[in-house]
Amino acid sequence: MTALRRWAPWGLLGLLAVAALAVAAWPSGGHRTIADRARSVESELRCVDCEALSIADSSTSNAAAQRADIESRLRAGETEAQVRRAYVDRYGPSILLRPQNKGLGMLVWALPVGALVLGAGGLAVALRHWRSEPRLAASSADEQLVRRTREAR
Amino acid sequence: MRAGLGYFGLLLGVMCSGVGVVVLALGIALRDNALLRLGRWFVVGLLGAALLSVVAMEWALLSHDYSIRYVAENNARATPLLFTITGLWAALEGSILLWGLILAGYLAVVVHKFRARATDPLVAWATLTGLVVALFFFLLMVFPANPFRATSGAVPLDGRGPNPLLQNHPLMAFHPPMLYLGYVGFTVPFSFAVAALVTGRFGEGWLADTRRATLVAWGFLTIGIILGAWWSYEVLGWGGYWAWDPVENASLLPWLTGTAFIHSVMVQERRGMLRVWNLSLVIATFCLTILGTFLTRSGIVNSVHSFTQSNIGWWLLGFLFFVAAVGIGLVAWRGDKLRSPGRIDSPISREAAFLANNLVFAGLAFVVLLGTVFPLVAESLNGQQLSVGEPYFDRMTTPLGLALLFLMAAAPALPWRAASGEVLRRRLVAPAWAAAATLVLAVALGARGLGDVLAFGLAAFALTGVARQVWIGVRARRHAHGEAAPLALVRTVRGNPRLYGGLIVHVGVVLIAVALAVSQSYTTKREVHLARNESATVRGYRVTYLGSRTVNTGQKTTVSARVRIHAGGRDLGVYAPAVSTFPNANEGIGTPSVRTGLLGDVYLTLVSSPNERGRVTLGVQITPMALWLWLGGGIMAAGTLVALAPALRRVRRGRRAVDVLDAGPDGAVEPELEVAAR
Repeated sequence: MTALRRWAPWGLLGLLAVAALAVAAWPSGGHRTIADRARSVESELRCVDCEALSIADSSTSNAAAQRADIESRLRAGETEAQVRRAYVDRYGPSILLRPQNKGLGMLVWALPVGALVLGAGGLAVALRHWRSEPRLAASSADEQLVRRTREAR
Repeated sequence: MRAGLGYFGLLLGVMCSGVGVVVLALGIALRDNALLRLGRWFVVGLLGAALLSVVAMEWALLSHDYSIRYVAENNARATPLLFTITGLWAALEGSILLWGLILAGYLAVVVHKFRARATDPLVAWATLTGLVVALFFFLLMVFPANPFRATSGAVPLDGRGPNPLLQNHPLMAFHPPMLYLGYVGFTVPFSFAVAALVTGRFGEGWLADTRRATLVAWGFLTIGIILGAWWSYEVLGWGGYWAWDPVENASLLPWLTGTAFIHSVMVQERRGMLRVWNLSLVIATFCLTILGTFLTRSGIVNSVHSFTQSNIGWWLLGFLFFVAAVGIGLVAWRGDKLRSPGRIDSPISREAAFLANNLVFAGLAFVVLLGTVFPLVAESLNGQQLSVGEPYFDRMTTPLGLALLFLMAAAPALPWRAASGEVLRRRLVAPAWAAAATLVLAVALGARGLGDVLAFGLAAFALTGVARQVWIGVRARRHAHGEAAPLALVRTVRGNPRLYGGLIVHVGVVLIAVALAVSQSYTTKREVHLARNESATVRGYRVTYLGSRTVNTGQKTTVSARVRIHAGGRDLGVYAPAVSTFPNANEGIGTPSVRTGLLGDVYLTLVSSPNERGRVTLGVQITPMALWLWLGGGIMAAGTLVALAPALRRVRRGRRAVDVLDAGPDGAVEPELEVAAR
């Protein structure tokens, strides 16, 4: 009963947090406007005159023209994937700021995940190892002392 | 004359560092204390030499001495005074000169601080290591990156002037020196780490000796990175502050490993563990500063910052491999002796949280490094052109950043060794309820997106935790001494500046995390076409175009639009986004005009100058909470300053002092039942 009383508030707290996060993560479902969709494509394509900026962020005249082009393609009924593919066909895969998850590009996604899993696994193993080790082990001298004391009794 | 003086300074620097290395090496080999004491005078000489060269360069810049190529390329007669002075770090050669001066300055502080221990082999080896690094940078300036090289052909009447982006904002005077003070500062802990490995004294001594130097370097690097982001926001005109540009990543990398080090060091101080790891982190941090310089200065990755290209890349790459080989070799050589006897008792303890923190920081550093060099690697492997940009970094770093935020919120509440359920409940109940309430409130107010909402909740968790710790410390002090609350607060902080300085830094980080989440998700960006006296309203802000003006100076031609901003009937003033054309550049450089507010900024850009009908295109961006990024940076700097302060009084001397400095989160020293086996 006391345990229940002690843990009940934490259960309630956890429930509240999970519920709030579930609402926050729930896909909004509402239909996205052309501008929203254009923005999401633009932010994934590199501005050809820049090194790191996307078409969405760049202020060059090329980027402005491409923004207009992307919006008109979406208006004409192309999907976001189709627009992206059209840009890759025209400018090559380096137009994509998010490398594709295939071929060599897969490494850039897989390596950090692998490294983290390895690191976390190593840490877990080390912690287990540390915990299973007795903090103070009796040496053979200690054990002899105990045996002699016993025998002497 | 000036070139001769400057070059003489460089040669003197090579001599001082080279001879200093030899003298110290002989002193160590022959156990000759007189030679070891002599060693530090070469550092003093090095500082004098570096000062001489820098003064000569500034003199040449101020007197527009175009017989020096660097001055001709980075200064013009019309360049304003401020940007004439900052011309020292406007390009590669001058930047290396500044680097050399800062390095000599740090080394001089080291030999001064340890002047009573000049014959201590640890100090001697550290000084020697520092001088080897200095020798490299001065040789770099004497050979491939000579800032005093003469202009080829006739001396021009006027110079080209600095890159337009570098003569546009006063932040340029502060951002690069701060960054270099950070980069170069990590040479000190690196030197002591090498010395500790060579002398076999890899206990806690070298950590105590370099704690302040590491914090100073880390603090400057933090300020440098924040100022860089601010500069990007105020000058580049794209409305953002971090583009995951290779140069930005290069400054972030040593910061990540340095931050990991600052945390894991506490585990070694307290428990004697993680020796190999800490040495590796210091060596890695120093290597990453060199790698950053290589990436940004060799022109290998094209970005905003790679203004200069030269064969300096091979020198830096060679030095990087040398340093990495020495570091790895030393750790491998000492490997068996580095094994520390400690153990971690519980996964729910402060030390286990520090391990998790280090795992995440190392993961972040790995992601940033991989994303930065991957295009280069891919291209050299099979000629494949790839880009790795913001969408990749956002996707990969957001979960890691949230994990760090969680650890930052929870870990300071964990006791060392092991936590009982009762202690955890008591310490976490207030932060946990604050977090839950914030989550519910955020969702109720319409916030969506798991990352954002989690960030808000964890921020509340962390802030409440900090507030609780401060409150408990102050309360204890008031009970014990009967002091008034403000006095008790000051004395509490001064009694344990490391703990409370760290917590203040955490508050700054929380503000930055929230500002990042809010400014990323709730920014509105529009382009409006306006004739004179026409208005447009973007998210409650009414912008009115009043007219434009063209100003011609020798430095540049500037077209600026005058725009009045109203918010809810309140006049916020007139702002002037502009586009400037510089004689040495083809494309116009946009200068945004930013109305900074506590809640949000109105960020105006002039997209196109008035057309034949007098209409302009303005970029209007509403960025909420941008100011909090810079404020958070300021709080981080303030926290670092507090952590650097000496404790008000030491309760006990000697080894136990470490425990006092590292008192538990309640401000009290936890009883140590056993002395950790060392």
